[in-house]
Amino acid sequence: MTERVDLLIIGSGAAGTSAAFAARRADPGLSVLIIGKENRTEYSAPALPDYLSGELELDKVMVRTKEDYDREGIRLHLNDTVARIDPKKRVVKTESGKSFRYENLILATGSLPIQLRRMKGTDLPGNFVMKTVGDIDAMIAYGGKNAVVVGSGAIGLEGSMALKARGYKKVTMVEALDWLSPKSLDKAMSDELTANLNAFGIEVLAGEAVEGVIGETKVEGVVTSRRTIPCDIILWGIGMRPDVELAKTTGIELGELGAVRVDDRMRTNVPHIYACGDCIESVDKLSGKPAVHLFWEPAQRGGTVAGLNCAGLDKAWGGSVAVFLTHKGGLSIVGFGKTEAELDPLKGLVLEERKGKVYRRLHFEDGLLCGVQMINTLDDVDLLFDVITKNALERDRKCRLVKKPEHLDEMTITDVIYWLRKERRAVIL
Amino acid sequence: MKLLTYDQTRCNYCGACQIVCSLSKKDRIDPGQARIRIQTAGDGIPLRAAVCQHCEEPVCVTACMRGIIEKDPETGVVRRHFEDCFRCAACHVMCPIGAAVLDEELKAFVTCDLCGGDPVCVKVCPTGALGYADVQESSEAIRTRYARMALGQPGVPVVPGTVLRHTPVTLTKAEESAQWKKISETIGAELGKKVSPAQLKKWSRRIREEETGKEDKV
Repeated sequence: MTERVDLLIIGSGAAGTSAAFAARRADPGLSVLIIGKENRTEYSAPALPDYLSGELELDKVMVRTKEDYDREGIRLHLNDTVARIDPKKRVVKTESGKSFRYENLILATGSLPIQLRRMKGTDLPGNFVMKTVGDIDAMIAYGGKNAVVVGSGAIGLEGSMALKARGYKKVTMVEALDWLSPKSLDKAMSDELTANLNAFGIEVLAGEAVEGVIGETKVEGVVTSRRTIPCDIILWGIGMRPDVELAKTTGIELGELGAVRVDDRMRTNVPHIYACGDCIESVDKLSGKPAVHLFWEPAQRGGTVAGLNCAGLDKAWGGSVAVFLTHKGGLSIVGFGKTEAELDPLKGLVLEERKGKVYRRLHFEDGLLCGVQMINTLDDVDLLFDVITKNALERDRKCRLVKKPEHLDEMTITDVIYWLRKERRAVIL
Repeated sequence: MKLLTYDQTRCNYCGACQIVCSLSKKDRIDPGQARIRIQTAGDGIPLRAAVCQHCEEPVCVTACMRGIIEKDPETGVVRRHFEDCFRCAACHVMCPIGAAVLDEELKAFVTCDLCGGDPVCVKVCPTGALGYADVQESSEAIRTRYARMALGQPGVPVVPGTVLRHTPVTLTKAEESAQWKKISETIGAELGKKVSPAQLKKWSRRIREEETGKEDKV
């Protein structure tokens, strides 16, 4: 029997759940149902490293309980996957044989960790990713003494710190590219981060590609382009990719970066189907270019936008900003905007400052702040983030609201912050 | 809804709001931990109050990776269940006004909760720079005042290039003593705590020195 639902949401993560809550709050008359793969209500993926380290109990990782959904009148259909979508009849069929007819459908299928399935040994016990609560539980149950973490993005970074805190004797981070998180950090910032990680007891090997996994029945080591590292577990943090399988089979158009293309109201090219969260192609607010932003804030806000539009409101999305941010275990590092490599060679300017453990970099183009990186401090980062997003607006308007200071290259970062505080006042008015 | 309002042209940068906020929320004087902080450009001239604006569409609500920040649909107040905060700092980074403070004891990022509708900082503000008023009305009133100043209200000179002029009130010694005495009494009456005028004055000076001497601090 086919059940009728006003709003059907595929995906029970941050995007799907915020879509459901937003829609129900905007129109309490809507029947809303969420189909979720995992047998769990919404939890915080960014909190998983704290669950791994032992800092947080599972109930502190959960964002919403079943009661929260009940209270809002949102129905859950968990532990089931969608087999196919018929966009003409507007019917969704699940693997367990259920079928739903929707008025509107929101795809919030999220992302999947990239895995090197073709490399030998990656199917042995001891290979782990960090995407779900189940992944962490499996890692904790597996144990081991020595760990290799492949990749230096948020998962690599927070994963290695968490494993160290969990009590792993030796944690080695391996990054194939020349330095850590090159998409977000410059070489100098990466060096600073490496020194910090070393101080936590984590060995960092950059510029070394993983070429193989050794072991017969379980993981026994990792072979890189320079050495063999004996280990019990491998945590793969080499990236995430949008989960677009369902979109593809339904005939939903993908963008140039391989994620679901949506308009500013989160609509896909197929009528009555919206998409949000990790599976969509967003617009980078800072560069104005298409981007895939697998972050919490865009997922949650995108979900809200999709949900409100499905409830009959007219809500614009407006794109998102990528923020590289880690603030845990005595380390804080933040980076957003252009890196030094992305700066215009003629108009670009870098200001840097080191004071004790604190190292900060500000990047400018034509006197406009366009990139920020700092470690071991978060002071005034709110101001810099605000200015950088407003500067992007200025680029769209093709006019300057703020005068370029005369001797920007001679200013200290504190001077710049004071200047921006004053200038922003002028902009607000 | 009613909000904390701040008129920078009236602010004397005495720091009483920060002192009383930390006293009320933390039971001790620690201006850096206050949920309202007056910011300058290092020159001692107040620019703005970093305090939660209870935004119409709060970015912190969507940024929060634990889903513990919510905007009350009825009162409009942005509330946090801070006991579940795991300090990811996203709210701090993305807040356009820098309202989120990392509370050392609570081990959580916190913001102004308007003292449940009875903000004590407004009561101690000696110049009336801080107010607790309807957001529409007060925004209109402050904008009108700023515009009048910019257009050269009688007695207020127009400075080319600047829209606003801070007009500090110079107090005589006697007036200043009276001011701190009054604030001390208000703290006693509102919070039931004893802080002498001399102590308040000392803290006020320290707040100024820290803000203007930030260069060396980082």
